[in-house]
Amino acid sequence: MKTLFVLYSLVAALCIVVLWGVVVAGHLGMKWRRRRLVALRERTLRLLLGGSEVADEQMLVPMFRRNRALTAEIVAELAVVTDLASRAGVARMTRVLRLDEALVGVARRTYGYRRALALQQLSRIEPRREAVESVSKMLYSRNRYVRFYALMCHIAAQPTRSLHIVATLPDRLNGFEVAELTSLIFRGGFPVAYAPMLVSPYVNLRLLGLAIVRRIGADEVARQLIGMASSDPDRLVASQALQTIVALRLPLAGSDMARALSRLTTSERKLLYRRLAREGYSVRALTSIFHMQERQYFESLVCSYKSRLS
Amino acid sequence: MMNLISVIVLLLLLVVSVAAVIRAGRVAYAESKRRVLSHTYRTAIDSSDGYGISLLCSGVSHCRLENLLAVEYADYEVVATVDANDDYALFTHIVEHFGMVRVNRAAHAELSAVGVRALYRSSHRRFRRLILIDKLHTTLYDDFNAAACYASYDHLLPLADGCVLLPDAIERVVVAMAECEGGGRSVICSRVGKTVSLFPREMIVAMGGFDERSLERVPRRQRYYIDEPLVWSPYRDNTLPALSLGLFRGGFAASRHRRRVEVWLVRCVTWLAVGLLLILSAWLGVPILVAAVVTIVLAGSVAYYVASLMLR
Repeated sequence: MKTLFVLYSLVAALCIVVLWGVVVAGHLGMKWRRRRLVALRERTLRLLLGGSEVADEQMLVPMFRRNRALTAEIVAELAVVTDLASRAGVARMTRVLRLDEALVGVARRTYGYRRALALQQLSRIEPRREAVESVSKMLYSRNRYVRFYALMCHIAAQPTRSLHIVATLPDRLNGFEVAELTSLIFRGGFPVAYAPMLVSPYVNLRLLGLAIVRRIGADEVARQLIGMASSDPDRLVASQALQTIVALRLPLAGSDMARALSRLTTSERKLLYRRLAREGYSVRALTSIFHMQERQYFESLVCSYKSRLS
Repeated sequence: MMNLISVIVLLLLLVVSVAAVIRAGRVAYAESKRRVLSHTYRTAIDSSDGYGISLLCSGVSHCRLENLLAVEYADYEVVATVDANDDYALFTHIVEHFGMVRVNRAAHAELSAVGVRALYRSSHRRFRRLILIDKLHTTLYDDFNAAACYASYDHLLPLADGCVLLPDAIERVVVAMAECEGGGRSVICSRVGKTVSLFPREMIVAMGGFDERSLERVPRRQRYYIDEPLVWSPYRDNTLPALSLGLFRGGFAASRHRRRVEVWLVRCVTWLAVGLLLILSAWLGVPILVAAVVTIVLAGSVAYYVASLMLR
């Protein structure tokens, strides 16, 4: 019995030593990283802003693997905020310094969210097709974020096939992924036409199309939105189409709208009324859609507006 | 008999050690996820219901309100409840500082709003997300219920007094909501540091309002846990040792919404259990005492590690 306790104490003591080792290594690593980031960021900015005046040979300097990975991280941060003209500079820097290979190496050596972080950075530095092909099997990872950022790498490498890649995804896109894709589209990541996406047979493309319509306020697709809200076979897409109509402050009258609203449950209707009140709809504009007690509820939502009491 | 007691003690020590190691692993895993999310466009997330969040708070200072309003996410508001009769100077200072004007009030009949005297909104555009309620203070949960009556959004985040939002906390919650979309999990809870939970409004209305056991009444399968801190509850000394000691002491108490007396009771029981364990171990023999001490050191080290990640 005492042997068991001695063994247990040894194992627990080993865990304590490992834990403290991780803490100390983490502190030292953070210090080193902060110091190196300052120096590398300055150098990377100078090279990126130098454009064609900086020769490839000037970019090439011997680098340790960690410095190369840090440089890739800095380039990924800067690539997100650069315009199209500077992205050629990002691609050139990636090619000359082989930053995509460095990040592929990091992705292969790590697991879980660290791998997702490496893939996220890889998707932002204009990777070459060969580098992205080597991470293809990460498209089937158990970690959703790894799968998503592997997808983003493929989109970065092959922008013309991006819609096909998004459409044939086995997972339904969630709000976070839609926001990332929309932001990529608006940075010029890949060209889209939102109107055909709304009538696509693929759910993910319809969701993405709705997000784009909400973002740019494209009210010329009102008819398609009403059609989606009233008759889309996917409930989530129909709900999002309805919310998009409300976000664009479109009229809610008509038989198609009545059909769309009849598909809602009681709690969904209350959610909708709160959204309508926030978007500034008046009671008179919604008279045709209310049920018996709902008018009073909606009036209580809109009655709390800004006014001075005399 | 001695062997049986020794086995029980060993099992107890094993459970504590394994739980501590698992906790450290979870927090480290969540930290790597946080690094991925820090470089994303979380503020641009909008989906079917916009993931709107109404933060409910009671008895706040204007500095804390500045912190609560400093959130970039668009579909967000702060509903603060203050008792003007109790602290007229604070109330007047908030009204002047944020340019609050009295407005009409029409509470939803879904929850109780007893004792509400007036409702204020800001006339300054930069504080348009602040709603101030002048209400007779009875209990914290009554204040939350009254605040929920005037909240505009569909998700409610009640925040106890003295808590400060960490940077990107709301955005982190929004990402969690996006991950849970369509999956049946609707309550988002943070279980590192001070427990904070986000509830759907309809769930709170169905439960009849907030109380001490709101989270416990939610089935486990409907909860989604985040292993990251969302709020900072400042201790007297904000250094790492004090924070980790606070985590170590309040580890069990932090996992439930409980009244202050019960928090102290749980802490006293925890320390009593630790003391009894040490005495028992000393009586059983030196190896067992060493094992008990090593376990306590391991638990403390894990608390320190979690605290170091929180302060990063």
